[in-house]
Amino acid sequence: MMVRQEDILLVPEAEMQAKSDAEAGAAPRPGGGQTAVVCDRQFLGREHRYTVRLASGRTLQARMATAQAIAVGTAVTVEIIQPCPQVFIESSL
Amino acid sequence: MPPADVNALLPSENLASGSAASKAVTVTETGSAILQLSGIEKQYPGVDHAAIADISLSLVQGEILSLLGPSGCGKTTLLRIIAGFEQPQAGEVWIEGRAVARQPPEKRGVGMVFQDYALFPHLTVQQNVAFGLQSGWQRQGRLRRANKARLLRKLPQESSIQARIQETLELVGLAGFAARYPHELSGGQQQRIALARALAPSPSLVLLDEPMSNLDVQVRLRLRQELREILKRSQTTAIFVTHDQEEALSIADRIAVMGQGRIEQYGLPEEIYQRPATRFVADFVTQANFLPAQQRELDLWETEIGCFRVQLMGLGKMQPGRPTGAR
Repeated sequence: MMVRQEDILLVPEAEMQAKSDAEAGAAPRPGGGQTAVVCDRQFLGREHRYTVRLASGRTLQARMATAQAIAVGTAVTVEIIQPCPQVFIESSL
Repeated sequence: MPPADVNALLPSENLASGSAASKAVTVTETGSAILQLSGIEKQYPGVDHAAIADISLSLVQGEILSLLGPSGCGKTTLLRIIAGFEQPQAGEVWIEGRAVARQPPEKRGVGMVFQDYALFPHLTVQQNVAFGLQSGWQRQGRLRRANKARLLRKLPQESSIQARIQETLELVGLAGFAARYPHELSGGQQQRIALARALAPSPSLVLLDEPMSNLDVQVRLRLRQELREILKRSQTTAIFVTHDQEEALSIADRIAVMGQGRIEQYGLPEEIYQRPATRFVADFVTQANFLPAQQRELDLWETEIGCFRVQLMGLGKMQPGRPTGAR
């Protein structure tokens, strides 16, 4: 499954917990929700490119606006925002 | 004669991908085809795979096509076949309806811009730009003697050469640089002179082989915009080769993504980026993440970061779907 870097939203765990508390009783949030840890952050000007490590050890790259910088080492929740991922049926994965 | 049915010249992936195919056909039907390639094949001796494998495409007047792909994918070979520097083992090249696959480069009406500019260092800017025009004028003299009146009409008169040089230098924004030598110009200016030299004879088609790869990032970004503006203002049909995805997406009207001698996908920049036809295209053009996914239901796929609904679109590819929020 292809997941674009710009379609990934990283939400710090602490912030996620606050949101969950505020939205208690509301409809469940779509897509993703896997916990990961930020292991690298590159400054690209308008954006940061983050490398996050999932529990399996697999890494993902995400690009997000620099307005809110997430520190390396922060535990985050990985969400997928629209547009949604595409699937390629291949045996190479 | 070139094939009447231009659909036959569109890459098969394009025809298979619905909207991409229909848009391509619409554009092709409304313009006149400047370039048509049909079944082009090329294999170098001693190499077990084809450098170019059965490539067909069509390009209309004023359109800018980018051949995009990694090193060794065959994009420069294809450009050289169109220019006449390489001969295909199979297939045909039509330029303005003339079959030219067996014609030498100088008889194809094609301008060329090289990665390293290839300006004559001992000639001024004006003399460099004049080179192609003067060659045409000398040819004109020979043809006059040979009483080739029909061809003569297309070649510039000596008196008009100076005017054309000035016009072309103005087009590339270097009108005040006519007396300078190439070493007195920056890399970006030299490349614009190379473009002016290619455009001066008003060729049917201009081919640009990685024209910005020798330039530093700032110049490259500025020249991207300028190159597109110059080509559009002069209504020049062009093909440029690049391995830079951003460059291709920002300059081209259409992109042919190449891999292993084939066109993997052909379409509008937006289509290539938003709906890559293969994982190769997705990987090369978008640098996306790829996650293993397990099919849980007909349209439900589970990954490490959640479950997503997708709709089957075609062999080897699934259409984007909505995430379910389920784990």
